[in-house]
Amino acid sequence: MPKRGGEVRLWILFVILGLHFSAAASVPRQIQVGCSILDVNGKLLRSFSGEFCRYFPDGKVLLSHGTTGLALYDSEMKLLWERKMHVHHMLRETNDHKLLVLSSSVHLFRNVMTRFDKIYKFDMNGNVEGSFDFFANVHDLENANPLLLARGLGPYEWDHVALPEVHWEYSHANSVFEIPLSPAAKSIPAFQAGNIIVNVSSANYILILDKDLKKILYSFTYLPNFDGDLVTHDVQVLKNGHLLVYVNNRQIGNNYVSTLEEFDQVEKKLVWQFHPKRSAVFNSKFSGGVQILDDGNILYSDTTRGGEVVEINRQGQELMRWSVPWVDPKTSKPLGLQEAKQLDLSQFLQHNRGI
Amino acid sequence: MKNLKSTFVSLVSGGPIWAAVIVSLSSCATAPREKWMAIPGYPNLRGEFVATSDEGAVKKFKGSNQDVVWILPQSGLSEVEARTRVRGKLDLFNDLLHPGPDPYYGKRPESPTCGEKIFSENSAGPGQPLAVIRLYATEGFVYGSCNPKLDVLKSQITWLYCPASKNFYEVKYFYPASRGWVDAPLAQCPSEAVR
Repeated sequence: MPKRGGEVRLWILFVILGLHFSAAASVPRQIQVGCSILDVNGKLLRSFSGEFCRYFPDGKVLLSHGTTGLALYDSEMKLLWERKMHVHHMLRETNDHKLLVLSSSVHLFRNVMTRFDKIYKFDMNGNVEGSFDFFANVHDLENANPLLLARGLGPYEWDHVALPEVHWEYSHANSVFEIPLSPAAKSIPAFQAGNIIVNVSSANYILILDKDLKKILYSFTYLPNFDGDLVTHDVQVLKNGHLLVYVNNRQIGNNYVSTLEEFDQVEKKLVWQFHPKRSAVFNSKFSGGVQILDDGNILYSDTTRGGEVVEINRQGQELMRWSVPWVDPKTSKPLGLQEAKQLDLSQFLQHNRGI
Repeated sequence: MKNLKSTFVSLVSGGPIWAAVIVSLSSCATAPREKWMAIPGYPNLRGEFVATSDEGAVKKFKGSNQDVVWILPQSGLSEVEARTRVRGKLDLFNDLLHPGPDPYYGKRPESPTCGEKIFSENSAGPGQPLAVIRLYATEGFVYGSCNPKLDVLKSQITWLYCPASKNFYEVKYFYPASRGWVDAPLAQCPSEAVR
């Protein structure tokens, strides 16, 4: 009988553990693409107007339109505040619930109307808590990264609706993230949690700004020995201190392909790289987003054949691939996308009724 | 929903027959007593109450032939507030269905499946809708897919302010896309509430 009692206790333990793990595995997850929310199988759950959005558990939603600006709505889509400004590429939220916004400032610079990146930190009431304007910091930027001077201005070839007067751009920042707590901060003080990492794709350098966006703490070139015009997106610091980078155009053999890379900036060592083997093609030329999921798998956007969302494991095995629902009626291909991110938006979906 | 008890809203069918159905929006705290009554000449709007949640939340009705109506009642709004709310909604829908060009990928398609028509805010008299729009939706009642394969529903949204009761309603009506568009506004205040 004691033996039987032990078996029963063992079974109860298994049941409890099973319930625990099944509960953990069943955490609802959604995928955000632009201002739309889809389930993990690509079914559209909710769409909002705007190009970039942030969703909050209480049902509030931050929408941005490149041409008109940034606006926060409550759960019933009543406007709480709006700011007229150019917004591009992404919106992020910091751990202390501030909003990081990639924006622009336009100035006559070296006799040319030029776009500069400007990064804002807002509080949830729409008050500016800090900003970093590349125009106001040209001297510091060029001191920190002589590559900027060497390359000069680049032609401005996008978003002419929002900024029709602009012909050149000084920089092309395309991602901004808050740096998480990581062991890399011991070796690279700028990697301290709370600081802000900005990828400036046009000149292949990465900036780290202090958390108040007042000064440059660190500026470096991703893969300094890379010989070519590297285009990168979505550069972020992982919890292990490594950089996660979406590389749009790495030369491998005689071909240019897109890769996903994890790079140890302390050891200056590439620790993981993904690009499809054999006949598969991964060639996202203009945009890209990548995320390491809680279970270690990788979610990324692929615009090789139009907008697709892909999940792989660390060995590169493809676990999921689906196209975004928006199609170009001329080509019938799915439209491109900047990034796809997996999030738990269940609280938001519960509290926000949509437009 | 303190002001909505014993308030009535008429939902009016389209076409030449302006026949009405009365939906009683009684207190949410008690067992739901909402009921669709038959609409003479418009049987598709016959339905039954299926769900509600907290006060002020969307009330959902499901009818025969896949018709679905969602009603979001809000009490205590002035007409100015209601009109401001509607203007904001129209802006959001306009942006959703007619987005600007993608900064990277150029002109976005303006497929006719995004929305049949966005009616501008009208200046109808008391008891008439502040605005009506019609557009496509997915089987999950999602607007803005702009994909004809996914947009299997048509929808009419009516925003209605009843000045006598100071009640504001957002009425979303979904029906199969294979049917013709419903032209006439789906909802109006009952005459006794207009006064």
